[in-house]
Amino acid sequence: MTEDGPADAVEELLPAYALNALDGEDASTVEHALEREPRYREILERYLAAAAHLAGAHAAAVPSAAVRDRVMARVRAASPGGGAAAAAVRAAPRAFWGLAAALALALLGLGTYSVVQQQRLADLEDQLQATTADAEGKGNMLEGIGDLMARPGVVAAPLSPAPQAPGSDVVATLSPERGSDASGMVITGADGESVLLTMNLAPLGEAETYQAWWWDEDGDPSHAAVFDVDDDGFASVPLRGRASGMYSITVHVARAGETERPARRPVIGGTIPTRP
Amino acid sequence: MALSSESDTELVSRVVGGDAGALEELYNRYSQPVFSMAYGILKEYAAAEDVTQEVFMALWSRAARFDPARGVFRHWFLHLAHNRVIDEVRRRRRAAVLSADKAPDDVELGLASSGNTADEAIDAVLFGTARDALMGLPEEQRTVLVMAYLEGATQREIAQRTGTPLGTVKTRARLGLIKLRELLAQSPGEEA
Repeated sequence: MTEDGPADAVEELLPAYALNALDGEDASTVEHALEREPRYREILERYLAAAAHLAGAHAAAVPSAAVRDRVMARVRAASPGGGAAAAAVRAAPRAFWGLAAALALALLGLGTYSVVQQQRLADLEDQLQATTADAEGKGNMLEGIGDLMARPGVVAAPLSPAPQAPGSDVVATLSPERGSDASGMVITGADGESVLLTMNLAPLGEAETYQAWWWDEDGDPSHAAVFDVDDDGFASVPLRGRASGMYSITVHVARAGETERPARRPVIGGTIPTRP
Repeated sequence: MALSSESDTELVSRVVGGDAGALEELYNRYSQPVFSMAYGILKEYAAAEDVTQEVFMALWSRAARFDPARGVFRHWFLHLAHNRVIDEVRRRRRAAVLSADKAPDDVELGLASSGNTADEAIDAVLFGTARDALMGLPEEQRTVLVMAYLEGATQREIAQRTGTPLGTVKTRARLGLIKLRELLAQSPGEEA
């Protein structure tokens, strides 16, 4: 792939094909040529590689768990013996994740928990065992969270409806009297990658989403994720950027397209602990 | 071997054989970038979820079309996903034509109708080194890539809307992608 001109009319169409910018007739011309001539595929691959970088440059956003459920239900229904397979789709995946997240939250604060809260932890463990007994991949998700948190260098930051961010005139402390039971947690691995878990966030309408923002010590935000929650208010969201060097993280409701900075008060937030 | 340790190519071959678990592992790997792209371009969460679902159903039915000897799965799959997203963009444009009772030429493409420049469109939805590389392109090349990639314009539509000969649009698309790849190859940590 060089700046020399294309060798023929088909090669001339390949960049636009990589961008999905051809009309039907030209696209068919390219596809037929790709079947005939391997060299066109080699040239196209280099354009596709550049286009793939554009595809990966969007703000991190995560679909709800329902999308996975629908895909897998359709796939299994279409498979041989799919009727029975479809019926065997995991019984309560969202309930499982909600409980697993609650357990993870409880595990994090175990050292400071009262006897009552430790009983709550035991109750959660019992519920998880009962739930996973009927679910596919039982124990794997819980082990995944447990393994993650047991790894050296993993840091977790609990989030509450009392966000803290210096120098921001958007952030305000929410009154406990509001009665919000929304919460969350940011888990940062030793490699610096982070995941946001949320609980009890209110599901939103079609025109709104949740956005997560990092805040540095100067009060400047940087975009971390766009996401939605399931009916249980739960979400598991990989975060763009790194927690290292950040002071806090907040979650806000936003309308589609609002990506420059938070436009509304946060619903949950918390400070990022520094590594020992 | 656990599915999570298999390569994309190995998983795709399992999908061809009807292995739903392999598709689910590919969903784990690619649902976020696919959905992020769909949401970034469509700007509607529900529509982005619908397209994401259709992309993975397309993978389920078309996995046999991927030839590992001819390219990288990630490139092939993200191209397929972008194709589905742009199909939705164009479907909406056709619907707008019908509802407004206008000729197709009278329904503005995104950049023209919103008054945004290509740079504003980039800033609204793209981040990181790929965004920076795109901003490093000459303006005329950047405009072609943005109109095609983000707005779903065909090269003929780009030529018509910008008053540029079709041959020039083709050249700018080619040079733009070449330059983009060169700039990304210079970025630390980027695989060009």
